[in-house]
Amino acid sequence: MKVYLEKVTKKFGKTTAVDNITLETKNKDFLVLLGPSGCGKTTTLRLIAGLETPDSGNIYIGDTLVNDVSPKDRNIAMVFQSYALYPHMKSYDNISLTLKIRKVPKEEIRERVHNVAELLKIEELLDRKPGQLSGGQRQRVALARALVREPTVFLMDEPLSNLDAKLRIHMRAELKKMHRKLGITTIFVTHDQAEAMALAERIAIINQGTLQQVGSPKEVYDNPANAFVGGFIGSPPMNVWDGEIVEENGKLKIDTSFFRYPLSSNLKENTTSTVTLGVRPEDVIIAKEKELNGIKAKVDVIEPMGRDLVATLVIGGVAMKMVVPSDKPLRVGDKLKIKFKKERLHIFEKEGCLLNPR
Amino acid sequence: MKFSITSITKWVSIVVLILVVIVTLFPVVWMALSSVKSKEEIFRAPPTWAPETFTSRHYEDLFTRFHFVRLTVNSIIIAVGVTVISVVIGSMAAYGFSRYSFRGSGMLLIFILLARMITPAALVIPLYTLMRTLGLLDTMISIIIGITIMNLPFVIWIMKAFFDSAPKDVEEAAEVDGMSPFRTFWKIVIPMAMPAIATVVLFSFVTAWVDFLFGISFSTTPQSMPLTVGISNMQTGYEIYWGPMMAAGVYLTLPTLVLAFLLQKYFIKGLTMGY
Repeated sequence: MKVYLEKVTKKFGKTTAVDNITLETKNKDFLVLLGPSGCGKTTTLRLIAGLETPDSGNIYIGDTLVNDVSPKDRNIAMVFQSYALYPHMKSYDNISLTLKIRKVPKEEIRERVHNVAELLKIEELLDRKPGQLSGGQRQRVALARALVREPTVFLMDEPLSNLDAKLRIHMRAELKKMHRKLGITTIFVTHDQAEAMALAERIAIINQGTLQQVGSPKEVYDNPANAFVGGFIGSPPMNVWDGEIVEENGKLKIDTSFFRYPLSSNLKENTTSTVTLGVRPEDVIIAKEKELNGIKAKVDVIEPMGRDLVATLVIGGVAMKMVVPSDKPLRVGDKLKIKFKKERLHIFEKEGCLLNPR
Repeated sequence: MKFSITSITKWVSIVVLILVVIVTLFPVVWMALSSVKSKEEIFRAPPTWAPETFTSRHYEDLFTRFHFVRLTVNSIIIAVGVTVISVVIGSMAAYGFSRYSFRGSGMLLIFILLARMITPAALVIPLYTLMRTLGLLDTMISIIIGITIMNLPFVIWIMKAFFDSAPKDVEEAAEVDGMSPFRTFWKIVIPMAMPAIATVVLFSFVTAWVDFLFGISFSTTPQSMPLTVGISNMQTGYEIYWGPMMAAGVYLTLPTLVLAFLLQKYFIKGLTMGY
């Protein structure tokens, strides 16, 4: 089932939480809404659920316009960040309540609850109340409650954020497996870019209520549409410098206050001269001493990460990050020259648009 | 030996608290001790502390001479009636105020609180004429209505504070699950609001149990009279029955004490909600 938002706007008082967003999921999509806190991603999800009404614009689930359809009739299921289990009911009743309300025959309820319980490995928890469950178990019960409805769309509002790091990574894989098995269109909200990259078939990045970019994890990583996306996706984040494009001996260069660096000539025409240069830490390489275009830097901090190491370098008093294989003999205080992988430079207009699309 | 500021503060507060407890409990203890003393011993000077001869006579008198069986039933009906009506109406109103904002809702809340600020004595006369017109004088219904009017604002405010601080996502989950707002309220919200409800149950019950004003104003015969009014009738033009009065005091206090002990965990939680 597809979900389609058409020019949807939602305001709370003077704050615009969702600003004219148009977004379409594919059938059986796993779409992650990603953005910093307060960017409007949860509001977007709540609009789809029907827990908020849009001020303008239309929301379609399948081919049906659902603006005026109540949440219970949208055939969606939602997993809340806090799980929102009914604290006074046993897991079994938590999961089965929605079926009871829909007057599903008792026998069928029992069968369906046991099926999802088996799928999520929570059969032995059905007799316990939420207070007697660990975070991870509650999360599974909340998932089961959503699954048992056999919804057409699955909405998840940061369902993993209350779990510890190890369990979170485990649950990511479980969710992905479950999605592949059931093929239910899923919209998942998170502020964690690593989680988004790991889970998503497509990522929609939202900032200040507006949609910044939609694409596969690889697309948004390799070709960020603007400086915000570039900086938000990837860890450690992209290095960015403001600068100006200048011509020197017939060649284009970018001039930041810290260095000048040559550019390839595939920039869009009519490029404004004030731009932002973005370079991912893994696209920074150590240059040879005599390299003409090399930028002088000093190693300030080294963080070994196992396979790689993250080095914080200082260029003209400003810090930047570089990721290199851990066998590179780097030491704090080393002075070296660096350069950037030429085909991996990102140049953004001040307003944010990418100027050198590949 | 050195005292830090915090330990001095701590000891001063303990001493003050002990004094407060003595001042508060002295009459109660005196009442309990007097209730088992003989009439002659109650008035002896200098007074005795512990009773020399133990008697249960005053307690027996309550039931044989002062209609206490009937009055106890009346008091229970009044207290339970006030509690049930206050909690049902109060929690529904509070939920409405907390979850749905409508034009003038803030003003309405203030007005409800205003009702509480008027002294009950000022309300009694108009309510009396109203009850007379309705033919409800000397019925327990009139007493229940009178006490409920004074009690509801408190219930609404306490419950509203609870609902304001309660997370809304469980109710939203119920909405997505397909529950109607009414069913969500009874099946999900109320069971979660038990600490607050225990507080208002205790408070409403005690308020109604110890009410004197509405009882004495609206009841004229033992048919609708609560225990408190029964006690006041022990003071007649000819004699004051001190012994039975003390026994009645103890009798009246016991249920509230038991209730307070049973619910005190919830009570403190309920009163300090949101702090």
